Amino acid sequence: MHIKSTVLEVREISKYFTDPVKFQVLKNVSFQAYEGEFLTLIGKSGSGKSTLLYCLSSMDTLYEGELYICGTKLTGLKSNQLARIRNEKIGFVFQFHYLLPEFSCLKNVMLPALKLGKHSPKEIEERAYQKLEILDLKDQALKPASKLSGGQQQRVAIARALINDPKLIMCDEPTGNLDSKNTQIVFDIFQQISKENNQTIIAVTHDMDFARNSDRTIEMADGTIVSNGNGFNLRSE
Amino acid sequence: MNIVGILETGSSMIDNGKSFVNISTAQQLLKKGTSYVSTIYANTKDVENASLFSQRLQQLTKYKVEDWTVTNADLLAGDKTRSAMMSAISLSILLVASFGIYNILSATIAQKINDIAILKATGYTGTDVIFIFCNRGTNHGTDRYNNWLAFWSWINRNHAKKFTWVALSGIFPFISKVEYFLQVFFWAFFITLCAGFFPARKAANVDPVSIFRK
Repeated sequence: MHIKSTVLEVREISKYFTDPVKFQVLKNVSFQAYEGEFLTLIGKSGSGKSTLLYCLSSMDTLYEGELYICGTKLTGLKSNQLARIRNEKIGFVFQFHYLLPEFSCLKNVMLPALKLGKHSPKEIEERAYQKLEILDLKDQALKPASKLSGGQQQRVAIARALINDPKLIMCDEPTGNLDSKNTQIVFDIFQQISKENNQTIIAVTHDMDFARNSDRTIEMADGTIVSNGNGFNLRSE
Repeated sequence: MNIVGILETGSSMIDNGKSFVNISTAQQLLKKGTSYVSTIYANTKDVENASLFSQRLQQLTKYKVEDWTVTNADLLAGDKTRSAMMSAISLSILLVASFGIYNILSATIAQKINDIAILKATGYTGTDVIFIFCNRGTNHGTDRYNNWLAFWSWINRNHAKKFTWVALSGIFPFISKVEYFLQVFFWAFFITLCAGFFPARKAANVDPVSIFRK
């Protein structure tokens, strides 16, 4: 079995909430995520899994310990540098779609790529169409995002997360607002992109079926990892 | 003697106390010869050049030469006060208008805080957010400048040359100087830039995590 390269490495991350009293949410959490891995984070509410995800996302910088993404140390970087890294290397899917309602789906998908500026707007539009096609939304591309159903909106949000071909896709309860049919669709999409594009997916979820079918599940309780799938499902090259 | 016409200036002090006769009649009334002249009024093509001409004329003659700015010094002092007041009024109108735009943008930002958070999550920086809202602000500014320009051109074309009882000239004092247009544009742009910048700075510091975790 060939172990794939590490995309994300967490070393001894601790985090405290200080309001209203000082409280340790994360206690020396360490783990790694590999290329092409579909990883889920589970745990009871209050176990610190979302907090951990937001630390990994580089949006929350108030933690102790070290965080590496694709070999780059993110801990201690300035917010503009982090924004650049997020733009290029990380895609986000949240419980709510957070699409800009006035913009068409196509524009919503294009936004992160326009910021990255690696391609011309014409090429970006073409790529956005491709991503929407993967998610079976090509015919909805020019509709305003607010006119779509919940499941479709979440798929547009996934297309937006994919537009820059990030190494990592982070999801906070991506299926929390969806019915079982749409949950299955989203799961299949994640499965497909981790297998075919070799992108790593880290998803926080409450849905046990969703977690069971992923490559590896990390379970958290009281700010520590209580069970780590340890890569038992890692696919070989 | 015949009255051949009536001149009204709009100021009753002048209208009731002054009449005009031709110069030989005046000389006869004063029982002076044809060589007698007490004052000569001369117009210059450009009013602003009057003091320059008066200096030049003074060198040619032993009589006293005085330009209109000296004769009407008290009026001009009043004019200064008036323009200072006009500036103060204009500035307060500008301030009120810019607070309007500031409020609109503040409300927009409060409403769009989720959208700002997702932009920041997907890699847009605080500077980008400031740029977006300053851009919106100055759009308001240039829009209003264009409205003003349209209104100005309309009134200038249709009403500027109409006779009204305004001051001495009888028409509205319309002055088309490039620097005035630039000034108006500068203020419209600058004040709306400020109106956009301050709420945008608040938006730029939004912590996306606090929005997503709500």
